[in-house]
Amino acid sequence: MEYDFLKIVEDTVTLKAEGNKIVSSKKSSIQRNGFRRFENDLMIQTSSLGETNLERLLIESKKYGGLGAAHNFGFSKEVKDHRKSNSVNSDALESYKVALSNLVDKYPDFVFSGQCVVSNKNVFLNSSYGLDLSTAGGIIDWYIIYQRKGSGNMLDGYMFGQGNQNTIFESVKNQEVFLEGQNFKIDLQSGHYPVLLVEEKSVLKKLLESFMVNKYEEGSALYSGKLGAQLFNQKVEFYDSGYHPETGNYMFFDGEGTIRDHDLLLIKDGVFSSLVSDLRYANKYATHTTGNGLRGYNRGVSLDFKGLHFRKRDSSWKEILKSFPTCIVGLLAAGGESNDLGEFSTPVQIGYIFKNGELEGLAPQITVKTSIDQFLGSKLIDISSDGFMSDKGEACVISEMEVMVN
Amino acid sequence: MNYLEVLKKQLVDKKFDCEYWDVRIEDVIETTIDIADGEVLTCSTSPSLGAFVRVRKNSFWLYESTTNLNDLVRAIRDMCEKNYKGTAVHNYKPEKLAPYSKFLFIDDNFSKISIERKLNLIKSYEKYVKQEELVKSTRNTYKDIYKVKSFINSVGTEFEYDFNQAGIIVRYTLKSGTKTFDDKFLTYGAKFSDLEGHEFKIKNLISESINFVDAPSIEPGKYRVLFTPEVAGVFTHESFGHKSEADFMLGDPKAIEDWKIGSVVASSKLTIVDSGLHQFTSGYCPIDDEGTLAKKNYLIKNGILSGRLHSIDTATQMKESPTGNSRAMNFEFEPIVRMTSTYIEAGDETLEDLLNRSEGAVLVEGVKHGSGLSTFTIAPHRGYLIGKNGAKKPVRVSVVSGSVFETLKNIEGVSTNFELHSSAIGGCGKMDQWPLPVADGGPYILVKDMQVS
Repeated sequence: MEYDFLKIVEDTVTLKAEGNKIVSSKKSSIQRNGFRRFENDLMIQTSSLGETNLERLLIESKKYGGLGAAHNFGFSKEVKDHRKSNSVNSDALESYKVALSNLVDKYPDFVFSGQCVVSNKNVFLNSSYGLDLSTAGGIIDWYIIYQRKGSGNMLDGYMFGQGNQNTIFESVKNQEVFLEGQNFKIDLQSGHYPVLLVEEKSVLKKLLESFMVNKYEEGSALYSGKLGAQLFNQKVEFYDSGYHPETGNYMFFDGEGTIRDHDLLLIKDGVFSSLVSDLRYANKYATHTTGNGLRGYNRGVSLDFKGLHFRKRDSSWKEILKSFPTCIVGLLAAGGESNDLGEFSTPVQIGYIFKNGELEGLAPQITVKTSIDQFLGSKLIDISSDGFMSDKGEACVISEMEVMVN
Repeated sequence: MNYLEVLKKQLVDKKFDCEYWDVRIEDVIETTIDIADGEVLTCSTSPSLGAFVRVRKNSFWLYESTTNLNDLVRAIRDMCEKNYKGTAVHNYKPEKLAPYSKFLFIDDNFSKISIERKLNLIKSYEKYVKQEELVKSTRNTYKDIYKVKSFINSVGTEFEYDFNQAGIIVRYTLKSGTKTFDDKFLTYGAKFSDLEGHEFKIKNLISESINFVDAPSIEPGKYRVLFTPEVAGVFTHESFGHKSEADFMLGDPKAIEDWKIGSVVASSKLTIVDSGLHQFTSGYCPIDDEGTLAKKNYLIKNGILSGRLHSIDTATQMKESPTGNSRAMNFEFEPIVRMTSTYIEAGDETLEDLLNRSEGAVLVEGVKHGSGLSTFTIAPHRGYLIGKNGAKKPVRVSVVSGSVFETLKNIEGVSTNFELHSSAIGGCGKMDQWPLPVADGGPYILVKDMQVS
């Protein structure tokens, strides 16, 4: 019998704000255990919470493990590697409190709510077949939502930040411009405009499916059969993140113990360059694992990404917008969806209008429409050298879209 | 084990230096089976057991979640020693409830069904779907949960009850030439037999999905939209359910004034209800996580704003009554204001009549996801352009959206038939608490001026 044991120990403190006030503080320290036993070409899995040991895990595995799943695709290589990145301390909670209080004093026409989570995690993966891995790191994750008094909206805007450094004051300062922009409502005619969606992953849904080796090989992905083809504009370089503890990405191994600490290029100069795989599909499709077999403590391994990013280019997003008389920045565009042709549309709940790179004010309620081919291909304008909220953030994609005023 | 006794043994008659405390234990056993293209990826049962402890001191809430159930007195004492000072001016005064105990599933819950039986069922659906020639790939999931909640607080309320549900999703991708279409079949049950025998429904759905492989995309624009009961439920949840959660109004007296109970907010055809009383649904919550009993709450009655969803905190601040909607996703989270079963009540028009006057409208069926902000969204699985006499032509629709403030006034028709839909896979998300089981439903409804793209 072989086994592996994934142990995740997480300590978090959460401060919550509601109606302009800090209303609660929550402490949590939870150990999550995921155990897999391999016998007779079967993988039998179980999980538990709290402190445990190998003997107990074996007993629980026999009690709860069930029938198991076929396992005929081997194990990761024997390896020992222990890494530790900076943990985060609770200073951020004090900064969050002060930042919130400053906003409440400065903007009496708004109501502020939100939360700040300071979390430190230790992840261990040990096995009978030679894995001895651990990583540790911390992350500060915060947001503040604001509602204009009397607007009746659940939110009129938000600020957010994530990372392993306390940059709350700086981030709030950078994002205040959007709060101030709430005071001006700008008219807009339906038409085609450059659009920057702050969170654009939902546009990419059909592309992301195409990177999954199983969807690709089954022929059910939008870009099945197109590996090596020029799909998009040459400006597009898109990758799955490796080990970047400075951004809070401190997982250098996946749920099967495959180490990948380098970025995996998925699109290079617009060319479809790579698929992602785990051990199961590597065996099935005669390829190699890319370390994308991710796994929660109580779930089986499934193919997923560690963190998707566009490679930064030469100009900041503000510089790119300067060339255009009217552009739209979608701060919140929730609920969008792609159809199976790769066409995408989404309402923009919170959008801003920029004229020649300057923020003019709030956009009316609009719906934007594009397709993955247009978004990264024929209608792509550029990819920024900076993140939307800070230099260190993820690059922004600016692309022309059809904009319909609702 | 009886965890209410564990709580009582440790905490009854204990005095702590705080205004209030409560502890909730959740004892859970879940099974997940996940099969992709015939290969079992996950097939396991996960037990979990933990407690959430709340202490209110100096008008401030302190919380701790823990898996150490023998350490609850220490947890409360530690929190009582903190020096936080809240700024809340209201008191937190829950009423003492008579002891409440309701077990519906003790002898017949999903933890008592063998995992072999569960696996065989989902494998049989997998095999059935694969028989269709155009099916290129499949991903099927079975998920069940049996949960017992036990609660005790400093005013002497104690309760315990159980919750039991399971669901299956059969997902498939159809492919013909270069064109594909993704669709899924969903079913729900509070007992295992509810999940069995769906082959015929799956077969019919696949036949319908095949009509979409070559369907054109809809021309984006404003349309009248006819929602099926399932979609009407998501529409209700997203368009007005979230808007009714009172915590969104805290600190904004103008919003409270503008959304005064008694205001006209919708078409007179519309009545919306939220209630945790519906047994054997995913919205079942007979008593919330603060100890408020469920009741039928009218949010809108004949177009008039009639109520809101409350916790004790929000109700106290807004001088209204708690509604039994303070819910936590699991033992790691504090209760916040959430929906339970939210639905539009049936109207007075037959579906046939509604279809006959829907020429040019878009009928939407099945829901991939929805979101509820000032502009709410629904991403449907299937859309149809309705022609003369209710004739339907398949069309690909990505998103239907509308303004919360306008759409409810744009309801033109409400049918007589009513369905309440449950789901054991997925649920409602709010802040960092996702997925919370909820149910939603309604009749067929016809709404004008929706953005469809």
